[in-house]
Amino acid sequence: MLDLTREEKFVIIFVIASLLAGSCVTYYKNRPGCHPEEQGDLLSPKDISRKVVNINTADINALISVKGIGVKTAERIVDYRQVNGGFFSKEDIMNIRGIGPSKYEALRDQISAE
Amino acid sequence: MKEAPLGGLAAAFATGIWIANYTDISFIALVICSSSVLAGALFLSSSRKLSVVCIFLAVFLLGAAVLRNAQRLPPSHISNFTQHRSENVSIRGVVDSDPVETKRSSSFMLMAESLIRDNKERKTCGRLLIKFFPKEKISYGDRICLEGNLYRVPRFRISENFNYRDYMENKGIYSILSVKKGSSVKILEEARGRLLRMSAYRLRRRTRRMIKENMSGSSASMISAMVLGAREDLPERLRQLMVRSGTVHIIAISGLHVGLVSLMALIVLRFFGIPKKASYIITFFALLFYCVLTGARTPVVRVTMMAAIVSYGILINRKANVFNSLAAAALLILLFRPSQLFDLSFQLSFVSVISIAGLSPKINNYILKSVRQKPGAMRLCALFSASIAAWIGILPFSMHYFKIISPIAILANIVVVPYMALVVGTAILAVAAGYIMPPAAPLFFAACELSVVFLIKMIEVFVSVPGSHFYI
Repeated sequence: MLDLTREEKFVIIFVIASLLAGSCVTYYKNRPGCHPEEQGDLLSPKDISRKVVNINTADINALISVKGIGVKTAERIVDYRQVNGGFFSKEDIMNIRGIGPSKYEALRDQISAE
Repeated sequence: MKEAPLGGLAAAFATGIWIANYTDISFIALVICSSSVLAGALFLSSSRKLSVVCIFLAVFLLGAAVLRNAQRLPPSHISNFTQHRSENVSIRGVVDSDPVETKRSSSFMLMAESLIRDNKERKTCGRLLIKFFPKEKISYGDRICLEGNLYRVPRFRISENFNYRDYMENKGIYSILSVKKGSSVKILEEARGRLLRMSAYRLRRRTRRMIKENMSGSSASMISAMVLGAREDLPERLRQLMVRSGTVHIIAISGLHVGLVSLMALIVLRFFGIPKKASYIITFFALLFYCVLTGARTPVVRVTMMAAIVSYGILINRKANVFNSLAAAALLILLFRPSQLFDLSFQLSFVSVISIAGLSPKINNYILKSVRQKPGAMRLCALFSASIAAWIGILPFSMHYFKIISPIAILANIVVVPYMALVVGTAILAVAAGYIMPPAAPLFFAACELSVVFLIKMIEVFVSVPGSHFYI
């Protein structure tokens, strides 16, 4: 009847299996009483306990809580944000006077730039 | 060596590049020596051994000369106008990459044409990294003018033996321009780039959008990384999981991905009755497009070149030799970008293939002597041999650069690598459905998401095994 090669049969079986699996997942997600907010992201951790300070939004008090950043540096960070609009990435904190490569290496696990 | 003559030449060329990086021999001296040795090879052609030695020596010196030439930047290069301290300048140039967008900002490579400082315009050249807060929609190929702070790439260590400035300089980036928020970017001309790259980038953006619309956050970022090579959104937690389990290579587009794309292309072409040789030619162009689509990183460039060489061999009825094809790919890449030799991605890509192709058959034969030769056991032995061969090859690099040893990687890769074929296959199927049959796409993407969740849960189990990894 259908003269299919081994690879073609495999591809057809794969497509059908994907459709079946996808249908099951969609059916489960659309079950009654399940709200879109509950579905969430299965791969993201429930709590992020590591304390990381966002250098684009943190106020002076939050910046001072970072080990290695004092009051003067925190003020410079806030001034930089006002003048330049913010930090594109964590590495841009090295544009602040008083923060060089070695200081950045000490800070980088405590900060983010989202 | 008889079956893979290019192997020796590639090794000599690479050694020349390596030595030149740590010495100060001038370009002129290297060219003169290389030419003299080459002339010697010609005169000594009657003596087989001497002429071969001269050819290898000439290639070695050529490698050194090529690196020296590549390191010599023209006087008008943008790096020569970049001060150590940040200064405000305007730059005109052409967007040379697909802009990468994060939540607040965007970045791209710019091919500089002119620099305006103190109201004086100077012609310049070279690539630099642009960071800006996007107000205007900028695309690859646009000719733009923008103002910002120009500074040298900062020198900080990503790990003990990995410096950010060296990493960027290997890619030809010496300077960064940060555009202030509120500054406008003037688009002088639109879409001046190459048609192939523009089409590839447009398709890539559309595909990423489709993946994000149909999958949840982390799963979408995993699939974008595995299928499109877009790793910007990948959560650090997932990246660390894969590093600890020794499976981080699954987010690098490489042989498996290219193999799957080739297989799908060949099956579709066969379905339409296209002759075999024509199918190989069309598949090669499809791979070339996929290479550009995924950002043309070293592993996918390597695989595409090897596929081209093997396809050419099939067309002219010659048997392929993996070491020869690999050496040809290495020579071609290093000829145009010799600094790639110092790029970790290049090193890992080639070392893993050499160790799998060279060690795996030996390990496999050794194991098969002591197990019953049933089909299932033989397949498992082949997987185990490949996994351990790759682990042995990569081990010195993971110890040197990342200070980590992951014994669990041997077992993890036996399970994860074959399973990855399923994940990438469902992802490609889902994306294809998104373009050809949009109403069916959500079902395929749901299946894809399920496969990604299982993949990550498997990796989490491997990492949780006591002694799975340790830092040195």
